[in-house]
Amino acid sequence: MKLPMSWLREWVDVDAAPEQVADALTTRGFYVEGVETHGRRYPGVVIARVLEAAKHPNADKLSLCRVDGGAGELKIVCGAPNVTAGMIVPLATVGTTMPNGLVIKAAKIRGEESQGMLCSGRELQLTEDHDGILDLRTFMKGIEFVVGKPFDSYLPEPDAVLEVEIPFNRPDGMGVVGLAREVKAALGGRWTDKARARLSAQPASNPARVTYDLDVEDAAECPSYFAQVVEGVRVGPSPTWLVDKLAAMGQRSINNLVDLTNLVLFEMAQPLHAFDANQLHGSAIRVRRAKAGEALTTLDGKPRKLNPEVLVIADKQRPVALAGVMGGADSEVTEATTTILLECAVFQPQRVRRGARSLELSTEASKRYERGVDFGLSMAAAARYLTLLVELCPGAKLTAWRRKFVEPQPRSIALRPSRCERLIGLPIGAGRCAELLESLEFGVHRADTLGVSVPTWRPDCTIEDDLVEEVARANGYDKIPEAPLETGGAYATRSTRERVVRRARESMLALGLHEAWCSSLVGEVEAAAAAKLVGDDPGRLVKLTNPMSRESEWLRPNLVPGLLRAAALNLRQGASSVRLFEVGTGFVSSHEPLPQERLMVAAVVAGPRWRHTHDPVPTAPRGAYDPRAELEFADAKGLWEAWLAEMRVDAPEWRPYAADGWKSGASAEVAVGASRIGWAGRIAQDLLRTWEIEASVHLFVAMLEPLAEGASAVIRARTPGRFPPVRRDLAFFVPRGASHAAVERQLRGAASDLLHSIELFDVYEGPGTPAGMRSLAYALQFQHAERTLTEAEVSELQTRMVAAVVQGCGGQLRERA
Amino acid sequence: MPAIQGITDLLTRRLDPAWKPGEPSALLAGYRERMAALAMVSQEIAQATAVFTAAIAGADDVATLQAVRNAAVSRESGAFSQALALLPGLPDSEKRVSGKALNLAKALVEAVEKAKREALERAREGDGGIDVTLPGRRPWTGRPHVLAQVREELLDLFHGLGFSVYTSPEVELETYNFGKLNFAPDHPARDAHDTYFVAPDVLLRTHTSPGWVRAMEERKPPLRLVFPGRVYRAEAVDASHMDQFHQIDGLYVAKNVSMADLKATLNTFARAIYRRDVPTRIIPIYFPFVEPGVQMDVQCATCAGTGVTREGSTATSRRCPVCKGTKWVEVLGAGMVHPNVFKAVGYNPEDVTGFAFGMGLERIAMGRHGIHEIREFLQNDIRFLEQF
Repeated sequence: MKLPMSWLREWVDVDAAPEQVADALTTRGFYVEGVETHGRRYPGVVIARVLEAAKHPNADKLSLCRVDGGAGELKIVCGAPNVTAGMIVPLATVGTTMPNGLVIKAAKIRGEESQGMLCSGRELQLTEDHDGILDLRTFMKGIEFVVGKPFDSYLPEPDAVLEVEIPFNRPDGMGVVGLAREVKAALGGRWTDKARARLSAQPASNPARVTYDLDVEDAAECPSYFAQVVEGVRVGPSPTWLVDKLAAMGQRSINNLVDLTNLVLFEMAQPLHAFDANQLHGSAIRVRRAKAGEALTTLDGKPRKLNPEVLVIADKQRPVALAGVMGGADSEVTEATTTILLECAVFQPQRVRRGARSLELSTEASKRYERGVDFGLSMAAAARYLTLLVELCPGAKLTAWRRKFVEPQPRSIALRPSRCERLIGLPIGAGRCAELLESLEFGVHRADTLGVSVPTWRPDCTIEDDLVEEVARANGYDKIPEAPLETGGAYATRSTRERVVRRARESMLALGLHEAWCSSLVGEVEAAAAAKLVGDDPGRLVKLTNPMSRESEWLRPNLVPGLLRAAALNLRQGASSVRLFEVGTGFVSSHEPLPQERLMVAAVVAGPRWRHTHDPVPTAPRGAYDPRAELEFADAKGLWEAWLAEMRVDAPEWRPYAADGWKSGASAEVAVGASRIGWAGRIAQDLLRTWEIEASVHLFVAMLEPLAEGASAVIRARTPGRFPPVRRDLAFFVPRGASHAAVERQLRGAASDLLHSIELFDVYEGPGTPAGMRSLAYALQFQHAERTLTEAEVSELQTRMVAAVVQGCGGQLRERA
Repeated sequence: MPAIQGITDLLTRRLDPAWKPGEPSALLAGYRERMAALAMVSQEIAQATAVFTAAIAGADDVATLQAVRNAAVSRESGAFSQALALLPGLPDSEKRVSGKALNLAKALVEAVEKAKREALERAREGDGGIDVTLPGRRPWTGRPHVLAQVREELLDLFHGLGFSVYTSPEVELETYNFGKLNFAPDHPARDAHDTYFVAPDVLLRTHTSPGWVRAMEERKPPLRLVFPGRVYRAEAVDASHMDQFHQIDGLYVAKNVSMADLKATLNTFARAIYRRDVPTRIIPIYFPFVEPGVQMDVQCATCAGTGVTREGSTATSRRCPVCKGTKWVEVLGAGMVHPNVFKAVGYNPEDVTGFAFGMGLERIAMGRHGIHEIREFLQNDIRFLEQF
């Protein structure tokens, strides 16, 4: 909402600069977002007459003009095509600073002297027009210009206009009067005489014959409807003062009758509507719900199908306006209009809102009705319109008016000063509370508990605490003291969820992955593919009913789509390496009303194993470890294993896993005990094409909830053994189908608690290995907590372990090389 | 003087004419003084010694140095070792003088040799050594997301003030997002919350405040909680609007909580997150779920609270683009919990009062780091992420 200072001063006597007013409003809850100046001054620009316009001797497109600027004749070179002798124009004299900062100097242009500049509308930043010199007799019709007089004397005074954000609960702020009332309370001004007269005005008494039948179907939805017929109106352009006033509000002038409705709308926050009375059938106004199947073409020219949510104004035959939203095109005021029916009504906010929303419409009128129009000011608003109408159309004849209304119940609320103190934290006595409320025109009955009557324009005040806010606001939030919080022995704690999230993030960071935060909203293909990767039923995906776009129509079932989008973006932009993870929520539907939200981590890696580049290329045989090579399964798995260890996952089990989207034979699931907690592997290239990724990408997904317990458990210390460990290396040939995990399981199964650790240190397949077999070599460490081990007991254990591998895996012990 | 002659003969016999003489005094501090002391004892031995030390100083490489050293002081064959071996056969007076001179001389030769060896090693490392300016083999390192950094900082701050974290669902029932937070049906306040729905009464939460309702329904007062999380608004995305962003709400409910407690808490926040002496103000604002409502602003850092910025060499001042000339920047919304919210969760508004606040992580991060494009937060361009 814009608030011009000139308009404000029409209503209150207040001696304050725009900045002070802005500050007063802001600190009372009407946030002033800025102060603009409407209109400007043009020192140095005068009214001039073109005496002669001849072609410039040395330039085709320039004219050489003789100009009377009031102080003798001037020669001016002008580039405008429209300059002609006799034209009245604004002349920027030598020394004038133009709005764009250019200073006008006497100069020779193509050999001819020029002693000033004739201005276009755009050069003055007055209009957008740059086609030629501003022809003042066209621009401001009907004004007698005196050559040599300052241009400023024909322009309105520049006005400061405040841009005010109106809170949703303050309908009164949608009009100049309501803001004026706040300013008056804040800065201690008073209503002007004019203001007092206007606030108490009523439509003239009503001697004429009532020609209109008025019927309101439901008084709750339309507490007040006033209809006045005015004959003999002449539709025409508005006078300058009215055009300027609306322009300052950002409203284009339409015609005198409509402009006046807008004036009252901006001033008193009372929307009005003028019907062409001759277009209303049957001399009747009906305020009723629309019927299914009814239609109305609104003022904006759009045909609209109505529904029973919409309250309409109808004549005998059909709807003619959407109540509180927009008029109909058929009954619009046009140049041919001679009789109008003025509507000044109060509608129920919820009804207007539902109707407007059902038609996806929002107008200056509906915005005000949705918040609540002041019943108490309604008749004064009608009177204001009618008074101005008669001024503008002297031939206008006010005939009959009718009004249907139900007076609202006056609202009275008890206010305990103790409640004010309790909530505000500052003692404010009953007397002070009363003064503050009275400054805002609340009625106050003074007693220990104040009896406060709420004005009609304050529908937001319904309970005691609303009045506490009024007191706090009027007293000033800046007066509230600071009371640092005391803990009273309370302290904050961290939940297991927070602990697991923190550890998950920190462990990924430590492994050299950047943390990503990805969109929760994804496309259908992405969502379905992501669900399948971890074995979720795509039927459990959750879809938005009102998405903004196809790419963000579904809730992510897991974090995979976002990370792959991010990988694609980075690879497209030339990143050689992508290492990203996210900790977040995935969504799948459940049997409850709300979907299941699963806390998880996911990570993607692509690119080289190592980040340095300048080392010599290794000359080792193919298959040897090359730090420059692309990451492969084992590299990625190493990251995920390290992460699992940091999460204190004890002995995770890696099992082959196959599902749509994984590269076949290069994916695994991770289980702890009976529950599956994660998935890892290389993503199939055909799936990566969904994101237009060519590189090979390794992915890891793990659920965090199953890890929460372990990650935040208190660890019991184990004392490292003091006695020397015994190391034995064992190498086996085992059939290729026997996994490392199977061999290790056999070794562990056969060992006693003297076995301290098992580490695989070599995998070999090549010359020397029997067909169908590979060699796995293990370093075993044995240790006793309380004594040195004997050779005999280690050998016995070793024999048992070898036997277990031989029998359990079909392996054979390799002879020592 | 035949004895001393024998010794000097022995020493000079081992000299090699190929040795280039150098300047030993440059190698060893105190060389001249020690040579002078030696000459006081025996002029002849001093002269012979000087030839060795000069040869040591002149050695170009380790091999030459080693040869000189062997000739002079090696235990078996060194000239000084052999000369010392002659001493027992000399008369007592000469034995004492020559012995003293030889010991001084041998120590001096060894000292010069050690200094020369170190000099040669230093020189070798200088030209054939490591180019320490080459890049090292850096391990991969990960950076936390900039929003996570802001979130952690805020949570740490509020943890210190006694606020524990409470987590509530991102997909929420309409009644928790709106109804129990005192949004009347068909009220324009809902316009500020363009909402994504997944079912008629199930939506993506538009703020983290539904968490208060869940926490209060679940627990008894007093409560001191913070509610971090992602929120959603069905808005067209542009440089300053995302349909997903992040908030932290706070809630303190007890017997007698007032706006004075709130003001102190908000100022603590501003001082910790902005700067110690940042000017702040609280002003009224409307939210359905608080009464009275509070907005906190901090002084605009871009224009230092002047409302204008100067740019370029012309120093023309123009309205500050960040605060639009208002001198203040909004940082959060807050207020006293509305009695209707207390009633909705079964608390008696006469028994307890409470304050609540809510802030956006993006706004803080954008202000702090000069980020102008809100979409960057969820795009995860590594070049963006690794800056922070």
